[in-house]
Amino acid sequence: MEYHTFSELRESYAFILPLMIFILIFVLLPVLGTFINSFFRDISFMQRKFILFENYKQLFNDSDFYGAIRFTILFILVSVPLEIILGLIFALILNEAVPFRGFLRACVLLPWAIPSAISGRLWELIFNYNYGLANFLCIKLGISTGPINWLGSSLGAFLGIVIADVWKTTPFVTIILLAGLSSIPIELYSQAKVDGSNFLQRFHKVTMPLLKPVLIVALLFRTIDALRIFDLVYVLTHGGPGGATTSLSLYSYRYFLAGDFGYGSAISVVLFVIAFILSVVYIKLGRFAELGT
Amino acid sequence: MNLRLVELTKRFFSKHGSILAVNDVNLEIDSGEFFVLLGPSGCGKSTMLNLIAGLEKPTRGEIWFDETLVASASRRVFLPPKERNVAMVFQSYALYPHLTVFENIAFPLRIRRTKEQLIKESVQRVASMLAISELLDRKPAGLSGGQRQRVAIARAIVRKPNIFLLDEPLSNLDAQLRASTRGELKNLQRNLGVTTIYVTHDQIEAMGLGDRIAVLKDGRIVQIGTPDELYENPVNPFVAKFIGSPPMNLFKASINYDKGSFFITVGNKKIKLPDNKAERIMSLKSKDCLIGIRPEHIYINPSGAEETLKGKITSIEPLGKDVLLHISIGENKFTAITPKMRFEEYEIVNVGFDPERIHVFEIQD
Amino acid sequence: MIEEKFKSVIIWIGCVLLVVFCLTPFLYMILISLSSSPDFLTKLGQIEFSFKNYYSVLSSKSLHFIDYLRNSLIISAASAFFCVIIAGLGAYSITRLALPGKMLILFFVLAVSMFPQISLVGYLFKFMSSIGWINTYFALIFPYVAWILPLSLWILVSYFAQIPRDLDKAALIDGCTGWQILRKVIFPVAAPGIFSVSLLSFIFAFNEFMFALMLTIDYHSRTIPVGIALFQGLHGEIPWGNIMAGSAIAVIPVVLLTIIFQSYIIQGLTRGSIKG
Repeated sequence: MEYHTFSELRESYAFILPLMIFILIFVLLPVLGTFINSFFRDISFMQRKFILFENYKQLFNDSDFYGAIRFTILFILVSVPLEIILGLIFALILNEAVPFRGFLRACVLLPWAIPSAISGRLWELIFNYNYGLANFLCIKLGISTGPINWLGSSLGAFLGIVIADVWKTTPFVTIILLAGLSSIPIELYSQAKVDGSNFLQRFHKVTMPLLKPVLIVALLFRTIDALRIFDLVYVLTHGGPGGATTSLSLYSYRYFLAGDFGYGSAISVVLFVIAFILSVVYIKLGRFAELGT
Repeated sequence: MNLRLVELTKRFFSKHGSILAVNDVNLEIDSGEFFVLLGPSGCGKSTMLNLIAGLEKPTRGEIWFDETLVASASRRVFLPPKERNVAMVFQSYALYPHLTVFENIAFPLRIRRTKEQLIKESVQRVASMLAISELLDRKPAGLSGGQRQRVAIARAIVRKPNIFLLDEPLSNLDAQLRASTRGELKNLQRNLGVTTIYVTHDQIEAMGLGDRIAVLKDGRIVQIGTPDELYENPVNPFVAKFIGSPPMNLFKASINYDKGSFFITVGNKKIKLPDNKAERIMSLKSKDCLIGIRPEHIYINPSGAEETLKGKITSIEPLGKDVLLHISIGENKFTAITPKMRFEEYEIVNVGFDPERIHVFEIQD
Repeated sequence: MIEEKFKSVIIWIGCVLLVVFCLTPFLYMILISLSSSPDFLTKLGQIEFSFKNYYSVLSSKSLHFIDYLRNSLIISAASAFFCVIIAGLGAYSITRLALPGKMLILFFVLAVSMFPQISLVGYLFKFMSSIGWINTYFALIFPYVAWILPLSLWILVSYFAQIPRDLDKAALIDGCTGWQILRKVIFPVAAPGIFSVSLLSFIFAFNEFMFALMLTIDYHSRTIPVGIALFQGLHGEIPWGNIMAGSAIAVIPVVLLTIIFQSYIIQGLTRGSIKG
């Protein structure tokens, strides 16, 4: 790779080859393999057999599959709005001239930075029925008279996962929205103040419209990420109780673990298609946001 | 080192088609000459510089350094910049922001694996030559525009280049600094004796610096000559307008022949053209032509017996010693420079043309 | 004036809530790890401080805690290293390419980053089994690099795009080859970007769970998140003290990186997601 003229440099695709090769072998090929596999009966120690849509037919009659879809969608609908709202509040606070700004930012980053498997373990302990922090606080603060069976009941397990996920991913939303907020020119606020608007009016008329593109980005990033949720449910509830918190990723994983690669692949193909449609939407909207600025 | 461009052509391709950035340029630059490429933006002057530097490959034609062929499209010869030993100063200076001034200047030597002791000596030599010895430990971000420019020049001359290329090096400096740096640059070039090619769109720079100037338009050389030649004898209205400030007045007129002399009519007065222009006039395709006269060759209220026209002053710009007048004579508008006197707007003045200084051009599309 | 007062009070309360929200679980983790039994809250908050949890986690050979931590550090560092180099090459090519394909590549790569991991992991397991890489570092490093590349590319593209082209030209004239331009000019000039990509890649690789769960078998290559997730007691009762002590040690690398280099992380995250 000896380049001499500026033109030659500009026309060199060679530099991007390693990147493309890596993504081809370790991302695209596996996705393709999963697609192909979903048309096979592919179970460990059994003859591999092409069965076309059998896996998918089975899938559409599988009540556990619908259960996984229901949980995944409910989880997105509850956790993502919570994260966006909380993230927006945090971002608004951090965008003010607060003392210990650096310390506060570091605090916000910490839950995001640690592995979700570890935070899952931590929340498992917090939600412990007998001596967990959650029940201790609930009783002390008078929210509940007796201990709540967090991880043992469907609703409790769902709320537990939502709380743990909100704790872990609100920082990401905060950071993105904070960047969006800090890029709003301060003159706009001064102008709005001169025009005699109050705090809420300024938020409504200046902040929200200008933050909208960034909000959309955060929203879609979080939606796609929540769609793929695996680590937290695996560690915190193992999908239980009784499969009530099994996400699509976890459901698919169970089949892989059991050696049924055909059926597991079919489930993950469905997830892939949903994620792909969402990401196309994201890229389209992202382009609009780019044009808008 | 002597530089020769033979039928040099560069075509750029894009999705919208292709552009001839440099079109069939033939040029010979003498060893040690200070040569200026002058033209408006987009005329191909920077591309020519890039071709000479080896940053681009020619589409057609050849480039010779003395007797060495450094680039030829047909003979598939191409020496990269490294092997041409050219140096270049950019408009943006292109200093390496992560390196100190010392390391910036030393960079080309380090790439050539020069001995440490030699690097030190060379850097210190050019630094003192350019009076930037105190800045060697600083980073480019901490320097003023003028200082950065000196560092860029130091980096260029530290390795004793065959050819020294400058791409609008002064245009990011403020006006005052630009004037003083111009003088220093010329002295530096004389002392080094290195063949220099200087690209600019500023005719004042070109006139002040160049031994010779090539005026470019749309990838072609329009005229090559010394500053005086370009000023005195521009070959066409483009050069006439480009050289000199304020630019030459140009207006359409038709030439009549009467009693052995050529005349033009301005306003309602006939002006006789000098006889030495006869040959030029005879070569014109039609009697309609463009007449040019520089503002400094228009006389206001002349005392002699010259033929004068009546003109109205439409606005006045004092220039200190002189004054720039905008004058309308009939349909035509002129600018004139004249020693400072009391003038009033809308004043009617007598206007005289120096007939020896009248230029006659073919009408162009 | 009243509005200003009111606002500053609200902000103060918000700050306190923010800190409580973010840090309480951490403090709880530390407290449990330092207490001799995990149920101190029910015993009227009497804590018996001891380091026995830390001692047992670090000294017990059968837990393989140290092995997991070492695996994690090596795998994450290697992934970050390769990721930066490969993404750096790609970003250089994209910011310097004159051809129309560059936006296509960028958006293609962005789409790739939206893929669910589960739709890769089944095939990756079979692939890694077939070439005998299951339970090796390679089984994780290669997919991690590919997985983190899209974000890294986006971040580096936004840094490289700000480096003027004249710098490339100057380096060419000064005698650099393509490689030398990258090594001696572009990479050093974009050092903050390179650094924040390294940090983010390291953190992402360190935190990854699903690939590690599927593609490793035991302490030879298992990473710390999987180790802690699968950490169960021998006798039914979960050894929370040990788990929290292990967690506390395991998060030290990322917590330190986050606190010390928070500005780089924030820069990287925002450049990778908001503006290309």
